[in-house]
Amino acid sequence: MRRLSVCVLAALLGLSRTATSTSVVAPTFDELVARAESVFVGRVVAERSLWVDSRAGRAIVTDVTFAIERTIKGPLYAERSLEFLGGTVGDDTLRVSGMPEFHVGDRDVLFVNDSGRPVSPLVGFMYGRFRILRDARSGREVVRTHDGRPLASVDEVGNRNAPAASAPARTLNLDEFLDAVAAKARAQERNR
Amino acid sequence: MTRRALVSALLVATAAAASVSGFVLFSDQWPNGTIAMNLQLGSSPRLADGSDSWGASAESALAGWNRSISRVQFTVVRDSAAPKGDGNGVNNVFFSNDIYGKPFGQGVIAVSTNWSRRSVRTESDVVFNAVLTWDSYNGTLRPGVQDFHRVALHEFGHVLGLDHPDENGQAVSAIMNSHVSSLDQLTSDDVSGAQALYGAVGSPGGGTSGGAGTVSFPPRNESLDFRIQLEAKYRDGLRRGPTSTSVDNEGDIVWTQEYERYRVNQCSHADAVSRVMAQIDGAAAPGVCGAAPPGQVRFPPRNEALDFRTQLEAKYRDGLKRAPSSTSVDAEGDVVWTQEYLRYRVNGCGHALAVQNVTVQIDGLPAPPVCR
Repeated sequence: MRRLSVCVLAALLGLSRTATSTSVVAPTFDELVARAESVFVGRVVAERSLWVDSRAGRAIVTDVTFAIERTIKGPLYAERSLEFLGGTVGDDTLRVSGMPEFHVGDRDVLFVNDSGRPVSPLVGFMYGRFRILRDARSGREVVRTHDGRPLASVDEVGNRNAPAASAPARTLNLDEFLDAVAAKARAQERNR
Repeated sequence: MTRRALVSALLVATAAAASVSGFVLFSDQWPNGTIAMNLQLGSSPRLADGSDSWGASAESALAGWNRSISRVQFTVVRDSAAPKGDGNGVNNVFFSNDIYGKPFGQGVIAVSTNWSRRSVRTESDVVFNAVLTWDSYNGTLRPGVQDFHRVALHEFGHVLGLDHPDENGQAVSAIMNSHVSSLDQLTSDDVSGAQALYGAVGSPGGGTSGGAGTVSFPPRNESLDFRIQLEAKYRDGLRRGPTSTSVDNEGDIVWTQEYERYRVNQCSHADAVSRVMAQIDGAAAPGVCGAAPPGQVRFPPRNEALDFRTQLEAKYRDGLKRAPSSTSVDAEGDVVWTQEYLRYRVNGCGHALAVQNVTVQIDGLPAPPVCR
């Protein structure tokens, strides 16, 4: 997805979080897992922006197709396409501030809920995306937040107070993160 | 590095990245003139901050931006009856249960959609989530009640062409950060960003020549982290043997970044080299040479960056009499990949993504696109 930007402010809906934090926009780890109808590890195999007609005129959307390597929650698919508002077609660009941008080859853990076809199919707009990177020093696959922040544990998900440049002594690796998602999903299912 | 020179460089790096120019710009901007915003927010009871209506609060937010910029100015159409539509060339500001038929998604309180053609902005709409509870107030956030004014300030910043600094590796106090906080007014960083696009009041030409420059470079600790990862990649991944250098990693990254900062802010190769060498000799950091043009930031030819690196080596070896140390990264790889890392950073990529984008190139894959 090219030239997309998104300007989104997430709501301060929880009393406790509002009261105890300077700013809480992102969903917590519990909320991410609970709100997602599907959580998977996907690799971008195609992305295409196109014009669409709507009741309010024309818009540009970008379809991103993921090859699914592993499903943690929800139905099993080999491949899945998600539609994001915004993109570039020819000389025209529709930029939605904060919208995640994907490129062919990207690998991410995605928390998806596209019920009703919202402007972003990810839970928490951009917060439902976790980047998978290979740490150059350790050689391990690690997860980062959508904007590249390292995580020491899933408890840090949704914490916007950590400085961008800070690097925890230990970074959560991919398998640990996925195990935590699976355990949380099972626990939530049991309590349903 | 000499202590004085290092302090000088650190001050520049810190100022450029953290406090002076943490702002991040979109690649498009409005043409000079006025931006007519059609306020279609409906009626309201008297609001907590004394505003008579949502429209009055929105006008106040627009005026806040207008006070700092010169080449464009917001104008308002109160209680506008203009058609609400995406891509119709009309700038709509309104409450809605959805965004032109698409749900907001849980937790989203406002969205701006920004249209451009060949990097010239043509339309921006701001849609506030009508499902939520709103007021217009100052200070600490109230549980469950959104502050219309600060959200409007943020969204109108996007309308001007400002992105989220905190999602691009910057750590600054800014209304343009991606999250709502107790901050309820524009900060100096927000104002600097707007002025980088449209000039300051009283200087219609705009630009900030002589200062830290209009292009924001990453914090020094992140650049140094990249340099350390590059060393590991060459040593452990590419199995490169050690070569000799008189420039330690820290001096290498600080001064190379400083050279690049001068280059993208309109200094010639010779001027940039001269300015960096003066700092190594202990002089205060000279100003940059001009404002970078809007759009994607362009870097100098690699042969010039390599020439700088060669001169830096000579400076450390012959001028500072530094003893040689070993590195697995040859001078050419050093300057090429450092420049590539910085190119991603100043074009909207965060630290981790920039490192990844460089690493895949070292592994022989095509260069991923920049982030804006």
